[in-house]
Amino acid sequence: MKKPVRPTVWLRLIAGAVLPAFREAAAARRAMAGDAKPGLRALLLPTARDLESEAVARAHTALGYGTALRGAVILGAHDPASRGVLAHTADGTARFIIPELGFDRWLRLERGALRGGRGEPPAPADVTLSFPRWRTALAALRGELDEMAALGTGDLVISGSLPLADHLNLVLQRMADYFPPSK
Amino acid sequence: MNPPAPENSHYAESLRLFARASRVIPGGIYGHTSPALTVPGKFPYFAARAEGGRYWDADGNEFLDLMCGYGPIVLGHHHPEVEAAAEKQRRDGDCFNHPTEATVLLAERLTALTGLGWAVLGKNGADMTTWAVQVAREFTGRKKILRVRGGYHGAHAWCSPGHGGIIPEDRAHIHAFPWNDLDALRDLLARHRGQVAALIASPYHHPAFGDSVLPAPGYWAAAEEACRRDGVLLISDDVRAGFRLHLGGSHQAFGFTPDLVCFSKALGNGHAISATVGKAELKVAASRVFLTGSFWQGAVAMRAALTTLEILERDDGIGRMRRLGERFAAGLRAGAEKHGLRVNCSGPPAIPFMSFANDAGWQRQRRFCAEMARRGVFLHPHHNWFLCAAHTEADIDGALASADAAFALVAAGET
Repeated sequence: MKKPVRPTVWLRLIAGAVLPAFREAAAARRAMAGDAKPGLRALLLPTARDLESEAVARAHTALGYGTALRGAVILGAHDPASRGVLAHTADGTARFIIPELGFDRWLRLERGALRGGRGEPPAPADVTLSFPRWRTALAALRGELDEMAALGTGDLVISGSLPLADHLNLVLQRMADYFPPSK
Repeated sequence: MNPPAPENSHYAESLRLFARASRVIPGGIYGHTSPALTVPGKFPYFAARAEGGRYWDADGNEFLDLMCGYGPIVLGHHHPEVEAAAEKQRRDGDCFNHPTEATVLLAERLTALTGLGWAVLGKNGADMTTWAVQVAREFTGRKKILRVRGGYHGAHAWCSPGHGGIIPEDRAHIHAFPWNDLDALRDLLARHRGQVAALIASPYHHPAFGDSVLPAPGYWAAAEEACRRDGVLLISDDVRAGFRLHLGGSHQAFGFTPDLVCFSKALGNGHAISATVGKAELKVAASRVFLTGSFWQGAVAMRAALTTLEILERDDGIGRMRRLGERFAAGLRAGAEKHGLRVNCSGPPAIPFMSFANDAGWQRQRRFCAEMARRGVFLHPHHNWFLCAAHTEADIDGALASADAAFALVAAGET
């Protein structure tokens, strides 16, 4: 159920999560081989047709999760719905991994406040969320994955504290309320 | 016990069925039996048959069943006397245009056992907890309901632990406080004085992803007194623990006096049935709250329930489960200590749970329960366990032998 969004939070997300995503998208674009490089819009807000390109889809997946995790930190500080969730969540560290994309980030919750980063987290992860296949991660990012079924088939692996993963997922899902994925 | 089986082949048929299920069923398997809540790939997903204290999965693996269908199986799967009573009723008919005598007999039995004034019957726990909340609102004319944070009262919108499809209005008058926290309870009562219809709580706290917690000394007496002072009804959600701790309701084991008690799970030894039993003074209000379901007068489950209660009393099934549970908990503590591990054994002996100390991410717990499953002992890593009266001392000792091997692996930190 979609909860109300706040313009002030949306502006903070633009500044703290989306603008850095543009910089990352530009870097990703520069790193792409060949002359027919996609536009930044295709990397950040791809259409279904854009995603037919594997290079675009892979880059978008990593950019999307990076943006969502940066956004979660902002939401955890300023979005009332997210703050309400985190207020009743035990402290802990979550690691997010998409091995095929070299994606390895973390979020750490301490006394209701989130921070995040890349690579090895500052404390052993209480829960690790891993997508063995990047295509599954893309489906989840676009809200097209039956996550409970994916957990049963091993397409999504959550190892550790499920409540922490569940609550952080609620915060991450708020990004879709502020920035609905394009179709 | 079964010897450890090679991983990835042990549950091949379960995994095949799940792949099919996930194409046609949201989540593949939904709710509390979802593999997502265990350790996916390391537990069976689908069952095939059961007998007594054991069951067999879709791959033919045999398990000592220490979850008992998440509680309903209290005498053992396919108990011959219960099934004979059910079968006799099945031959006479189950779903009629009217209730049968079995409805009256079961209501009489439940009121006699609990000492309360009346009973109604349904099919699921949430049917009853939701209806009991309505009865409390009807009786008091008040809106608000207090509950314990992390408590489970079913999958209806006002209380579901899920997130999807819930709107804020569903819970606008539901207020939660931490278990055993009398100050928080009194604070809520003071903040909403004259508006609270009921406090609903399980007789002891049995959260998922946490140890079970018994009421602190004096907790229930003080909570009851605080509610009485404000005209707030007390609803005991005894769906999970009912008929494993005391035949008259778990509140009798913990020494408090609820106005309404909800039962289900163990009542029918696996047959779908639930009940709410209430104080006589609430009977008129109860009569005003509409209650029905197409299958709720099913006589088969009521005959099964009558027989289950009779056998539990005749054979002291509750005493037997308690003794087995004490043996199990003592053995787990000793086994863990032998391997240098610290564990918390919590909950009443008949509804035990064990977790590892310093295991915030539940990694040791998941490893331990997965190893137990490989050895033919079905335990859940994140949900309390259940014993039944069909378990034997040899079953418990066998489980402890498996635990010894599982503890060794956990202690070695092998993954």
